[in-house]
Amino acid sequence: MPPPSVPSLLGTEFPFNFLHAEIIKYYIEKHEANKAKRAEFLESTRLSEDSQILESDRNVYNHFALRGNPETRIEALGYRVGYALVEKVARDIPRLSTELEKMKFICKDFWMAAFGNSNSAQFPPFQNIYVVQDNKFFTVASLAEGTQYLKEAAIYLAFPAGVVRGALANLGIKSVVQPTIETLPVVKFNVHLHKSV
Amino acid sequence: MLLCISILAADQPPLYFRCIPCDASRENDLRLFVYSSLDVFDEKATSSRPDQELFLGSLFLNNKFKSYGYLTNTQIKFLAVIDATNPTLKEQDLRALFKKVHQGYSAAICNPFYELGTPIQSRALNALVDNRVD
Repeated sequence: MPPPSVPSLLGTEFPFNFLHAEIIKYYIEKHEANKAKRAEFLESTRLSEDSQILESDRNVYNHFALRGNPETRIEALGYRVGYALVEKVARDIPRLSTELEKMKFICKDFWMAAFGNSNSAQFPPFQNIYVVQDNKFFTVASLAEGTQYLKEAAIYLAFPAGVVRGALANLGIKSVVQPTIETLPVVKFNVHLHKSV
Repeated sequence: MLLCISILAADQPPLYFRCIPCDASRENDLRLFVYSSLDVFDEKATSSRPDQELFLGSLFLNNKFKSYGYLTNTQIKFLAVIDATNPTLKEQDLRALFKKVHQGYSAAICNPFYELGTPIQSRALNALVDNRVD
């Protein structure tokens, strides 16, 4: 089928990488600041003589203070983006009726339009889990090759994981997308599909 | 003559409904007609052709109205109702119309201030109906 006519990513890849890095930095800093504030609040209530922290208070407090961690928030951003993007990309193609067709669409056309790359392998599904491997994923492409920065690189995959999840959700498939890295820049996305029928 | 356009999604209140300016009872008739056509939608979507197309064709007819449907890959339904007594619009025109509605819809979705699932307010979509009255 003819490739979707979405402008190629190459022109905008450069500014997007900067924006993405700043978003990540912002959320991490905000999270740290919130943690510090919470600790300070706890300290001050502990030291003040008029108040005591009862067990019930602690639960309420935790409930209030519990903000999502950066990964969850960034993934939620990606969800909205993926939801809208798939509407654009899937506009001119014929109908996708089966789940397999939809996954193929995501792995080929949508991946090319959204991430500018072709992934080399789409393993046949094992019990509803598709493994999509991309050999040079663009958000981590500029990090050092190999295994040096695995932990730091993990958060750079939160946004794309959200994009894939949002895309699948708009096509009618509930899923959970988990990115994993063994060696940079090869990234595997484990897509767990929720069985709808 | 095009009477109204409606966009509906599964499990959600109607996303968009716009008809040509007319009195309230006619608008109610149109809404009722749109909802009755929804059943035909499901029939056509599941049964018919090894559908390569998104345009579903004529859905429902009564003495006054005739409706056409279009189902996107993301399970969004577009419906257009035309006047049965005055068939100036042909199927080709409707296909082109639905393409424009699809473009307008994906543009509205891409608006970051738009909350998914709420009614769509889009000048581009409104213009589609208003400009067709003549």
